Amino acid sequence: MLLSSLRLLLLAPIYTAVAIQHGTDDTFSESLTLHPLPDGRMSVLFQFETIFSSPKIPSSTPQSHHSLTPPSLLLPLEANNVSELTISFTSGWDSTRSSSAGLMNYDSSGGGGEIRGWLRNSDDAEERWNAVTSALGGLFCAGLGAKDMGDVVRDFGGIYPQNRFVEDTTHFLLSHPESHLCTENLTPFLSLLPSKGLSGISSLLSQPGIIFSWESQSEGIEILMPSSTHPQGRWKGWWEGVLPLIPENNKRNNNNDDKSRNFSIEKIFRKKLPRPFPEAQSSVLRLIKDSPRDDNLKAKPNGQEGDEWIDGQSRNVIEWDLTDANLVGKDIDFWWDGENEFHYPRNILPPGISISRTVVDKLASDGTFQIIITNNDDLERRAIYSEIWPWWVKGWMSEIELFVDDEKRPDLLENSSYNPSTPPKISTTTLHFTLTIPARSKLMLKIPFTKLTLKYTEHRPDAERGIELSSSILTLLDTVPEHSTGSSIEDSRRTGRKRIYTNRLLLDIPTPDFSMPYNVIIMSSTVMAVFFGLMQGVLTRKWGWVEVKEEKVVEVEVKKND
Amino acid sequence: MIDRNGIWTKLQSYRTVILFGFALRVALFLGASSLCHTLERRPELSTPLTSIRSLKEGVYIYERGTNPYDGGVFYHSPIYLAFFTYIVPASSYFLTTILWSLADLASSIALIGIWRARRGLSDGTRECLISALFLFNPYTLLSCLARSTTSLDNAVLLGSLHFATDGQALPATLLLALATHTSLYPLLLLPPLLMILKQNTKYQQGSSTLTNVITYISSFAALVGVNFFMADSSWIRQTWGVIINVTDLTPNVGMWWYFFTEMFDHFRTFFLGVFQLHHLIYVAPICLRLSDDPLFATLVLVGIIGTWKSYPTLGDMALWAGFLGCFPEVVANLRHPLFTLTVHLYTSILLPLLHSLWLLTGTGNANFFYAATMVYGLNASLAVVDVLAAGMRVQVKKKATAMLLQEEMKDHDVDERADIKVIDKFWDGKGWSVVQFTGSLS
Repeated sequence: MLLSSLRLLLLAPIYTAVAIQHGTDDTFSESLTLHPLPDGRMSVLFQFETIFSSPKIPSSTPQSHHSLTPPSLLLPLEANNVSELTISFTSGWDSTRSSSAGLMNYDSSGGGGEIRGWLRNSDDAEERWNAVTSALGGLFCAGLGAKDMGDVVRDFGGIYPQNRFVEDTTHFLLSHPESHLCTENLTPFLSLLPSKGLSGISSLLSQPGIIFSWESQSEGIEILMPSSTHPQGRWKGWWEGVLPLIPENNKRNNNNDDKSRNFSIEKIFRKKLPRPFPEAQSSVLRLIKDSPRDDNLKAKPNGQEGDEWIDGQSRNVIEWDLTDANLVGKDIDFWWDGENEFHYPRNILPPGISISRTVVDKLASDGTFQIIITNNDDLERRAIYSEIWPWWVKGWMSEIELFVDDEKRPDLLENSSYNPSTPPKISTTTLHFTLTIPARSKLMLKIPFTKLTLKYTEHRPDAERGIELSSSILTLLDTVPEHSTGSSIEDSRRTGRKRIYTNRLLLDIPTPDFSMPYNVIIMSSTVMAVFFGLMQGVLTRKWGWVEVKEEKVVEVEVKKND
Repeated sequence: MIDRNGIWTKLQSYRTVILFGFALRVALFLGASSLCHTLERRPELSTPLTSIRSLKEGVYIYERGTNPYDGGVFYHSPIYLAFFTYIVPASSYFLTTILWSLADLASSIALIGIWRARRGLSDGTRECLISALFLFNPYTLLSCLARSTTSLDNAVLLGSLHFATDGQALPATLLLALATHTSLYPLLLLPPLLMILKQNTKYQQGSSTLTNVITYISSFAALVGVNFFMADSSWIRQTWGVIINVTDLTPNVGMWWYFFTEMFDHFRTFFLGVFQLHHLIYVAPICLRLSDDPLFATLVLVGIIGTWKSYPTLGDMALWAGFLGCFPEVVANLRHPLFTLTVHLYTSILLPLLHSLWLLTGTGNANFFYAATMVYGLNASLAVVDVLAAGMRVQVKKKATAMLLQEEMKDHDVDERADIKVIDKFWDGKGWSVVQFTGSLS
């Protein structure tokens, strides 16, 4: 005892020195969350988080030091004055089939790709933003850069506020609703992780054959760069998927007995629990159970149980510490007591607030966005509804209508901000409506729009397919943090989910005939030439008169007029 | 019996026709408002530059304290913006319908004024015919019901011409400046208008062409000042800029939209220049050739502008057709009036049909509507040429008659000698007809 204390005392300075050199300020933690959904599917969320100090060590010679952080990610951000940055890809998510208003990870964007962030102000902020998007686009094997400078949106800072306040910054957002999440995006994501998909939870993720057979995927990263006021930075990566617990072939094949939702880690990932990543400070497996639906959901071996407030509901959470050597190479089984066959529930409890967007009165050149916001709570809610449109969508602000149960309610639109695009320049229209959503009601918002005719050179390849419109965002203004103490606010407002996304929309634009340029130029010019020629003839030629005699002998008596 | 005759003569007065036209419009506006709302969206009747929908949108944005010219949604003149914000609210259906009905009424009164000044006499039947031809022309009626600002532009322009034929220089130039502001192309009508003024104010002292030009420029500048007061300088690019550069390619009945949709980018500026200069090149030759009848020169130019402007509507054709009613001698000498009329009927079916195939049901493609606009444009072009040629023929006939047939026309009085009907009768009797030779003017 004494000896060990002595040793500690003697070696303490050496330990500290080593600790500084290896940057033990950097901590890495990872978690895998499983959340069975009411319709027989399950959400799986991988989360990786690294807290790091400034990669620059103050010294006379400039040098960077990275241990757990990927330099390829942080160096472009460092060089371009980025304060915060979020990149997110989502595909396949269908909010109408779920009891939650969105993905488990609150920061996931709506459909498609999105890159957004806060840049410290400088004269060349725009070029720097371009540089960042181009650099990171290469990193994710996806075009993240703007096709045109006009695509960049700047008035979404209120919708995506800074995580940590840094003065004198500007928000930039680029939406790529056409982007998809594909196998090419997984490898770069894994390479950013310190565990590289070789050990720890990430080794479960590095199986594209399994991951991409799931129904929907969402991946993303969020980086908060260290600054003078906040010496510690943080970068978070997540990957989320939804998979069916009853495989498709089991449903059809009646001979197979297994119609229950029972699952295990090995059944999902075809791997047993991996050995932990040695640098991970924590590595946790979490199972979120909805009460009372999942009250008889059991697991073996047992983990630590507790109650947590998640997304507007108190839920039972079981945790397993995966750094525990006893669990390595083992499997965890999950089953619902007494369930031999899964019956699809008659009704799925809807989320407190849900939103959908469709196009009605569909014509090839016009249409009306119909947005239905459903409030299932007994509370009146306040929210901002935001849209981003490409320049060829021209909304009619004077014709916007709000209905609650077929009754016009223009008073529910408290405030609106509208930044129209400036065609023919490629640009975006953004709008933000501050709305009040009455309790237990369906609010219908109708925005008529016209599609402008584009020049044939402005159509993007495969124009007949149509163009995707970004998800619109409903930002709830009255949410309360989940960890807030006191049970007085036991309602759906107590959630970390501030933004609810609609689906993307595919709009077809009236296209010209792409093979016609020569024909049109030739034909229109011909009409013009015919007109000019006839006019010129009438104006410049001599006019006179002739006398046509009865005997059909034309004796022409010509008289010049002018 | 006498009473009945009195009523009949009263009924024959143009006032009855005008009142009936006004009543029909108000009745249709109030009785068939859903039809009117459908017409508002028709691209044949209103372009983004003239539609009431855009106007309402602009006024809505302006009333909320934002400049509607900042975004690409509003192309109307700031004069319209001010008028429909402060005087007649654009959102009020009733007031705007009355305004549009009154505008058509004013147009037809102006037409009758032009006719009277041209003829120097009032002829009840002819006046009825002129106002009826204008007010019950489906193109006029439909653009009025669609509340296209073309109707208002037409009223202003006809008012200007009316004052010009009346010799009132100040209101004529002022209204022309207003029309230039709202639709830019009436600028081309300044030279013939000055000629009309010169012709009609010979006896007045102190009203020279120079002072008229100065009045025009100063009233134009005053309106520019008003516009700057409304919306800085942002409106120039969004109103005249759009008319000149054709940045909005929404389909209309004109020749431009598909041409510039399909245009190769590196030729765009060149062809914009060609298309715009195409209007300009006619002004001088027509004014010179028709210098003895500047009102007829105006008619031809109005026809050219209505056909070839960058954002034409059927309302522009209605203006031309109504104006043509003041020239019965020209109409009598047309080569192919039936052809023109039937093709107009044909295109009035073709345009909505092919438009709906492409842009409503999405089953056709852009070539469909383009083909229809080509037919319309070609027909309108040929009609303009026909009218010009008919005017030349009338000119030759009148000159030749005055030169050669004075002896034979002795038993007719002076008025009848100038009447084209009497002249035509003599020409038919003699077997004479006017021809155009292949040789050029020497």
